[in-house]
Amino acid sequence: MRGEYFEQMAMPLFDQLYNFAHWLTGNRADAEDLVQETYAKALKGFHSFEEGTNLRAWMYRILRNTFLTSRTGLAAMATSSLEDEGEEAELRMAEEETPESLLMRQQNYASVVDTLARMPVVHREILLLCEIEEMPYREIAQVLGIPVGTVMSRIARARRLMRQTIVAESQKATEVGRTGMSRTGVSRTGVSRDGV
Amino acid sequence: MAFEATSFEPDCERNRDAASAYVDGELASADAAAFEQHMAGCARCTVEVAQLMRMKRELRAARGQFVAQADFRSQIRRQIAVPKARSGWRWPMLVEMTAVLLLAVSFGALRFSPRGPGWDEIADLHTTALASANPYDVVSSDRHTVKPWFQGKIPFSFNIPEMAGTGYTLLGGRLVYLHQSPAAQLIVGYGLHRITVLVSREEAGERAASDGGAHNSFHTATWRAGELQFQLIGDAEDAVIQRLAGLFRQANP
Repeated sequence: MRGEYFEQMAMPLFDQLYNFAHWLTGNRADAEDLVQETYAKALKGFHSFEEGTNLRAWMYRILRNTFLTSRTGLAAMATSSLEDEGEEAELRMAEEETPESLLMRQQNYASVVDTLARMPVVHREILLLCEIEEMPYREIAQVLGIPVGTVMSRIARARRLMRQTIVAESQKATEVGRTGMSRTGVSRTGVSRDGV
Repeated sequence: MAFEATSFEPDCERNRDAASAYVDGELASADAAAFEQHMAGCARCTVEVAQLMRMKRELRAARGQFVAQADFRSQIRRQIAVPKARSGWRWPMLVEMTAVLLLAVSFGALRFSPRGPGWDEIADLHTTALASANPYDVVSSDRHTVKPWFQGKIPFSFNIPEMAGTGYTLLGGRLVYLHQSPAAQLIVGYGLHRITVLVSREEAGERAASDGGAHNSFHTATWRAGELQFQLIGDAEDAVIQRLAGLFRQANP
């Protein structure tokens, strides 16, 4: 029976869909609404799903499209643009001024995950699909409705922006730290000695 | 996307997309080989790939970070459940009630049996781990190492009690699956005895085994804490199992 088949196939995706929804919306209430609406739409439109094709990609696509047409999604999209290359170029300059080792040294789990949460939704969603859901590019292309080549360049761009953001914030934190130290009269040599 | 090894230098900037696709395993084998050949002579691209790999690894922490509440899951399940045909009205009410009563009694009998069939699966997990040449995915006696290891691998979190001075030793942990759901299996030593502490989502754990007692010469303990189900099994004395259960109960109120 078609309905039973949907139940069997769609419920195992629940945890992943909820996690993805929470990452997109940023809070539990909106994530629950989004997941609930996704399942309602999927159940209603299940007759149009072609058996043997990728149900996961189909469900993610419904969830993502539902999010983009929601109030939260529209607001999130309004504040981000895929064509904002100016900002990227500016950030790249900041990155090049910093030794690459700074990034390696100062990154940690918390900062990377926190940065992901603050990324514009267009970059966040593709990184979530790639890194968290571990979808191959072909499947991501199905979810987002874009060519595989675009998936590749968009993921690369999202990663660059993420690293640049981390580096820029690390620099800022370092500068604030230096200012704080000079204000309190603590010399860098002293701190270094304490560290040893 | 096709690359020529010679085209990477000196314009590595242009080929950053290749590094990104490379760490995702999305370059065709010939392109990946060309890129690797290029990296052998290009420190910049090598660092780029190392950093991307690191970022990938660190982003794993976001997997399963947000877990839905159990009642919301039930709500969705009810929402998509296929309505079952009702046939009971054709039967006299008394027969229906008798059937329900019989079912309830059978369910109760099963539920309170100390040898519930669900323990078989947990006993198998325990034995398989001990028989394995690599019984642990993470080997450590430090609970602050073992617990974070599960982060991003299981869609829930739990606490491991401090075992110093208790006679128990945390030996390690591994990721297992119970009824198609990820679960954490900790192996705790007590002398030469080995005890499995299995932590799973309530639904999977409950289906596996819902009551403690003895099972095939193993001693067991089980209880719920929030939406988590804890199950202990081992060949140590019952008092040893129950004392360990007490430590985990205290750590996971």
